[in-house]
Formats: sequence, C-alpha cells, structure tokens
Amino acid sequence: MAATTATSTETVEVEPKPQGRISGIIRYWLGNWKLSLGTGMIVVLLGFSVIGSLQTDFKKTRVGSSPFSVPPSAEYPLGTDNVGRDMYALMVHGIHPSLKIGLIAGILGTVIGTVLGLVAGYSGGLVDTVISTFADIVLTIPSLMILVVLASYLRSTTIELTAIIIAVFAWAGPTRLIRSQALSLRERPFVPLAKLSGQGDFEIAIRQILPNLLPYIMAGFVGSVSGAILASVGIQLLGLGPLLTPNLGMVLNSAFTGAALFRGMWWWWGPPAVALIVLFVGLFLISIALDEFANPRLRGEAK
Amino acid sequence: MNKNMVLIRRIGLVVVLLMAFTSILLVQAQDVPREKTLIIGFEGGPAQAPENAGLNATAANSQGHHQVMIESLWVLNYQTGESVPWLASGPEVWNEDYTSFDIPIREGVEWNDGTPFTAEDVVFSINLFKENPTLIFAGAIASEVAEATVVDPLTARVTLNAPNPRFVYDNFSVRIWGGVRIVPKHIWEGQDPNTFTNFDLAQGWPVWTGPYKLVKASPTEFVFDRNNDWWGAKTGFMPLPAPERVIFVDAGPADRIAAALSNNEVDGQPNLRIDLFAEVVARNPQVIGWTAEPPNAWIDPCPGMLGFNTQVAPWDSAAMRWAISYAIPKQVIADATSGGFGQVSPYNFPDYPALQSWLTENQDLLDQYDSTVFDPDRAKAMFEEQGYTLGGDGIYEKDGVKLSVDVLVKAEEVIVPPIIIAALQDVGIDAVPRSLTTASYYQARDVADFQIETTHVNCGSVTEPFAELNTLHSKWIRPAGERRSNNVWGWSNAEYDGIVDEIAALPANDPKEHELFRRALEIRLQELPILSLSQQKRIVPYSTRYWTNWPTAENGYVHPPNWWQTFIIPLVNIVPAE
Repeated sequence: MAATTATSTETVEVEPKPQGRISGIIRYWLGNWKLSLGTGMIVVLLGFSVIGSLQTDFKKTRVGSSPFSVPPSAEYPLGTDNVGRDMYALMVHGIHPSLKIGLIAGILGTVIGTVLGLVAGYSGGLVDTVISTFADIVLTIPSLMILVVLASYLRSTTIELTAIIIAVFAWAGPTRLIRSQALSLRERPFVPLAKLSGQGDFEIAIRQILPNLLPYIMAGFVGSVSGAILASVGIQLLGLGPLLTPNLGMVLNSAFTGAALFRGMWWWWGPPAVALIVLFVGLFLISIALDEFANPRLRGEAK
Repeated sequence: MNKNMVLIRRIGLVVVLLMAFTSILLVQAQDVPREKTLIIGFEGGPAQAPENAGLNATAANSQGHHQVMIESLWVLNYQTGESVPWLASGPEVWNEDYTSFDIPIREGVEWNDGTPFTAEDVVFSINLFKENPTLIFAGAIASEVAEATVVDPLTARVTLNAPNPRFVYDNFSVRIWGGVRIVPKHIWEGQDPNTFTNFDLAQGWPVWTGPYKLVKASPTEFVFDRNNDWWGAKTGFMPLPAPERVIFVDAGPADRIAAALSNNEVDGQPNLRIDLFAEVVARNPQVIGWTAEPPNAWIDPCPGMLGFNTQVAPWDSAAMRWAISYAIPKQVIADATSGGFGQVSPYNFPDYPALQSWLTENQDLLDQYDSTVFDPDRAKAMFEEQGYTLGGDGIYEKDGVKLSVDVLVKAEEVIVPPIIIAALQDVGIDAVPRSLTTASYYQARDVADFQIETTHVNCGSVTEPFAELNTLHSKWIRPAGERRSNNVWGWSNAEYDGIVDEIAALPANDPKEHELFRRALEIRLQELPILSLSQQKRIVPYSTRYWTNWPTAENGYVHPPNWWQTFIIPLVNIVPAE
C-alpha cells in the first residue's frame, strides 16, 4: 500500500510530460511489490538456469547419459526421465533457451508493433486503415496452425528460428495497443503546441508521443514475451521445435509422450511445469504492474 | 408468473426429451454386454476417412477392417512357419518353371451377403489390381502378373511374366501386416476402384467374407457385429468367434493406452511402451504381454535402421558410410527405444529363429564386418583416411568444404534423432536434423530427397532372406524426384543384383539359396547402404479380464499383432473369461 501512495505523484505526471520518465519508472519499479516480485521471480529463474548451466555438463541432457526413470536423489537432484536424461541438467540448460525464444520474439513483435502502431495512430487516414486492417486479419488467424505449417517446412529448427517464426504473429497485438494510445495522445494539447513551436510530424511522434507510450510498450512487451513462450511450448509439444537444444516445451513434450503422469513420475513433469508457472506468474505480475503505471485508474480500483 | 411457468414447462419438456434420447442411445450402445464384446485399440490417431472401406490409399484398414472382416487366401503363421490355407483350400500348385500357379479355393466360402465366393472373384480382383497399380497391395500384381484365368469355379490360374516361386508367399499370405484382397465381383464390377468407397451400411456394404460385418464407422470408433451365418462356422472350417461384437477404438497417446488397459476399457492395444508395462500390471494384474518375463515384448518384423542416399557425395563412398556406423551408439538407441532392454541388430533382419539361422551360419562375416561396434575414434580416423582434416571449429573439411549432413527424421520422433545428431556432431560432422511431419517425411524419403534418413524401418524378410535382399535391388531406382517403392537409397551393385535375381528364381530355402545369400550378405556388409540399428521390441498387451487364450510366447499358436490381418487366428481362438 505504501508503495502505491509513494508513487501517486509520479502517476499524475504520466500523461503529458515527457521529462523525468525514466527515473520515474525506476522509482516505481522499486516501490511496487508486483513489479519487484515479478522481476524477482524471473531473475531467480534465470539465475538458476544460467548459473546451473555453467556448472552442469551439457552432455547430461543427452539420452542414455544416466540410468532410466530414477527418482530424485543426491546424485540426480531432480531425477532422470525414461530415457536416461538428467532432469536437473535438462532444467538448467532448458530454461534460458525458452526465455530466449520469448525475448527475441517479444522484442521483434514489440518493435514492429510499436513502429506500425505509432505510424497508424499518429498519421491516421488510409495508412491507419491499411495497417489496422492487416493487424486485425493477423489477429484472427489461428496462429498456432500456421506456426506448425511454417515449422514443418523449415529444414532445421533452432531456438532463434523458432523465435522468428513466432514473431511473425507477435506484432499484431502491440500494433493495436500502441495505435489506440497514439490516437488518443495525438489529440492532447501538447501536440498542437509542439506543432506551433515548429516540430515536424516525425519529431512529434518520436519526441512527444513515444516517451508517453513507454509504459504501454513495456506492458505490451511483457505480454508478447509470455505469449511467445507459450507459443514455443505449443510448437514443441507438437514435436516441431528445436530438437537439440533442451527447453521447457521439449521436456513437457517428452513427459507427455512418455506418460509421466500415469507413471507417477512427478519429477519429470513437475519441474518444467513449476518453471513455466514461475515464468508466467512473474511476467504477469510485471505486466499488471506496468499496466497500473500506465493507467492510474486501475491502481485506484486495486485499492 | 405465467410466462415463467411456460418457460419452466418448456425447459422441462426439453430435459425429458433429452433424457429419452440419451436412454435410447445408451440402450443402443449397450445391447451387447461388455463381456460379449471385444474392444481393441488402433494406432495412428482418428481415421481420416472412416466411411471409405475401399482399396485406395485413404481407405481404412487397420481399424478392424482387415482384422475381422477381410479374409486372406492364406495366413502365414510366424510361430509355425506354416502358410495356413484360409479362403484357399490348400497350398498353391506351381508349374515346373514357377511361371504359373493354380489357386485352389475352399468349398462353401460365401460373401456375407450370401453369394458364393468363387474363382471368378479371384480372377476379377487380380485383373482389377493389374489395371489399377496404385490400389492397396496392387504393385506386385500389376508388374508381375501376365494373366489370370478361371479354370473351374474353385480353381483360378495365375500366369507370371517371369519365374517367381515366392509370389504367393509374398502377396497372398499376409507375410507382413496384410495381403492382397479378393473383392466380390458382383459388388465391384462396373465401379471405379480408385474412387469406390465400398461403404453403405444400409445396403449391407462393405461386403467381405469375414465373420464380422461393419455396423458403425466414426473417426474414433468402428463397430463390427458377428455374422452368425459365417461360412467358416457353417462349413466346420473354424468355430464361430466368441465375441458377439468387436469394437476398434482410437488408442490415443501413451498414457491413454495405459489407462484404458488398466481399467479394462479395452481388451487389447496395438502397443504399450515397455517402461509402462510394469505400471499397468501393478494396476491391473490381468494384463499380459507376449512373454511372461520382462521386457514382455514381441519383436516387430521391421528393425530400426538408418539409410544413406548413396547417389549423393560423400555418402556414395562405402568408407564414409562405415565411418558413420562407427560414430553411432547403437546400444544407446536400442535401450532408449526398448525401455532399457535394447538389442542391437547386426543386420536388417528381425530376430526370428528361422531367419536368424541364416545369419548364424555366416557369423564369420558378421564378425569381420561388425556394424554394431561404436567407436568414434575409428570414425574420425576413417574421415582422415578419406582426406578430411579437422577445422578450427571442430568440423571436418575437405577442399574447403565442410563435412555436413541433414538427417531426415519424423518430427514426432523425439528420442532417436537427437542421439544420432549428437553422435555425428561429436565426430566432427556439421549435422542438423531435417524434421518433417510424417506425410512430408515420406514425400521427401520416397523421392530420395535426403542425405541420410532414419526413423523409418525397412521391412522385408521374416522366414527367409529374399524379401529383404530384394528391397536393395537396383531395379527399383527411379530418376531423382520420382517415387520409388523400394531402394530409396539408390544403391546399385551389379553383382548383388545378379545374386538377388538368381535367388528370386529359386524356391524359398533351396540349398543353393544359402550359398547365394552368403555372397549377397558379404556385399551388403562391405557396402553398408543401410545400417541396422536395433530390434524393434514392442509390447502387444492383452487383458484377460473378459477374454482369455490370447497368443503368448508360451501359448504361441500365432504371432500377436492385432493390427494385422493375421488377427483372425486369435479371434477364433479366444474364449470368454468366465
């Protein structure tokens, strides 16, 4: 509660003034429990994966590197799966590739979405109609089906390629979000003021409107990241993701095809499920915190 | 208030109607009690075209059709090695030079619409396949049969283009999975067999000779009811099968397969992962496998293998193929695919006693060219002998070109491909998987659009060597981009072709075949166009809750697959549990 009151002064300023935005964000970040907790969860997960992968031999993620179907023990902290892959090794080597897919696809989707949304929202007219219609069409396409077709046509799938495939559909959401905000910002008094002071359209879009969109972009980015991770898990569950780099979808896929639930091998399906939960809850917390930052009214309702 | 009452009455009426409909449906579904119903799972997911019981590529087959409804002329029993005459009355009768044979037809055989089954049907069917080579099992008929004629109502004569003493064994005896089908002339005459679906339940179609008739077909469930007027029982040839109804259901993924068995929802499944068997038996002790001891598995006739496109450099070199063989840990692959009970395979033959004796008599050759060895250092040494040098990035290269390979694999296969790719990378090959969905995989494989392919199997011999040897004859090779029915690896060796041709003209197990096989085996081992990886052990589980006397290793009256046409034999042998 204290966090919310402490930041209320900043939020009043959110709307028109571009100054002090970055430091405001940082202060808000540290003061908001949802943001701190969410970020903390992601950092811990990433830390576990990165530090763990530095200490664990990658070869332990290979089939037949350990005994089959062993429950957790001192030697195998998370047990092994039904073809002798060390679950701990799979987890530490598998979490960061999943995050990497999310980050690459999220960044690509957000950057493309921001540019298109800004152009559409600020310029309006035909450009707006074309961009928004296209984005609407992409939003209605069942993307997973297309992703499966795309993935099956590629000669070999890597983490980066999977991310790019996912990004093909990841831009439409951010485009809509940014466009609607840009539409409203365009009508604010500071825009005509900037025009009067001699700024061109491009300059206004970049210097006046974009900074005010930052919280929305961040929230959209977080949403894209979690959407991309979910899509990658979906692709992997269908057996079409990268075959050689361990990742959470792959582990879940093998647990599913190996009937881990039926066999009661909780150490097989549990860790990837927990990692995904931590990942999504963390991203969700960050997302709602950023949303609140952008919309003070939400914060009011939260009280 | 009044409006509310009307609404309540309407809702009440709908509920009553729904209940009435539901009870009708339940009555319909339950009119054969569970203990008189046999339920078997089928693989491959929901049927794409359940209402196609024809002969074209999309028709349903293993969803019960050829197990309980379509009978074969002969049924090869792996356990006894005998070809059991079924629609035929005895063995075929050959002329001296194996260019023509007579099919003797059993007296009293009837189609399930009461029409007698005669030589007219046999001749009509063979001609149908001759004219339509893309129909199921039609390929060999189209290419090898010169003429089919009716000698008398119970004798059909088939003349071949060239001698082939194995023609009946290969095509009419259910050597693997299924055999050439005889269709009723009075139904199929005048139909276009490439589009005819042979499906009209109201009219009593499909018409076949088997003891069951199809009564319901949906993507996930096929229901067959017993024809109490079945010719087999009427003539005293076989007893009427005990189950009044047989239902084939979509088996689903591994956990569903296991759960359905555990709960006795099904009486048999086409497959159960070896590492799940103990768990299933712990929940349902009435579930049995082929053997009483672990791994409780039956050996599938198609061993796992890896094939090289021998028309593409550098895989046109036998030394390079051997180097790959040394690079691959076959025992790891065998164990991973058999729940730790892996059995490596020195040659592409299933481990059946009759067939293995051909290998044991040539053990010296198998020792000399031992492709079961895993020795990565030797693989690297062989690359170096071939002029490759290790680059700074750990990849071998020759004349500035990196040693790279795309390995064609099925996307659903997640265990074997990573082992193979990692093993190839370990010996300095820039290997990547080319992972395709099953349909695309076969499109690529069948037109030789690959460098190395794996996760498919090369089925062939089960009792004697010819069929497997024949799959690598160069006569199957087609220009790039054209489909090949065999030898997708494009391997050609004139001496080997000559030997295979010589064996083809001899009857199976002829003393001379042994000497010829030894020569062919030596060439195959030296050249290694395909590399055998492991025996395919699979559990074909049955539950004894409702039905007993299932085939097992101890009670081995026939081999156990329930997705094969041979399933007719267990069907007439099982008895109610009570």
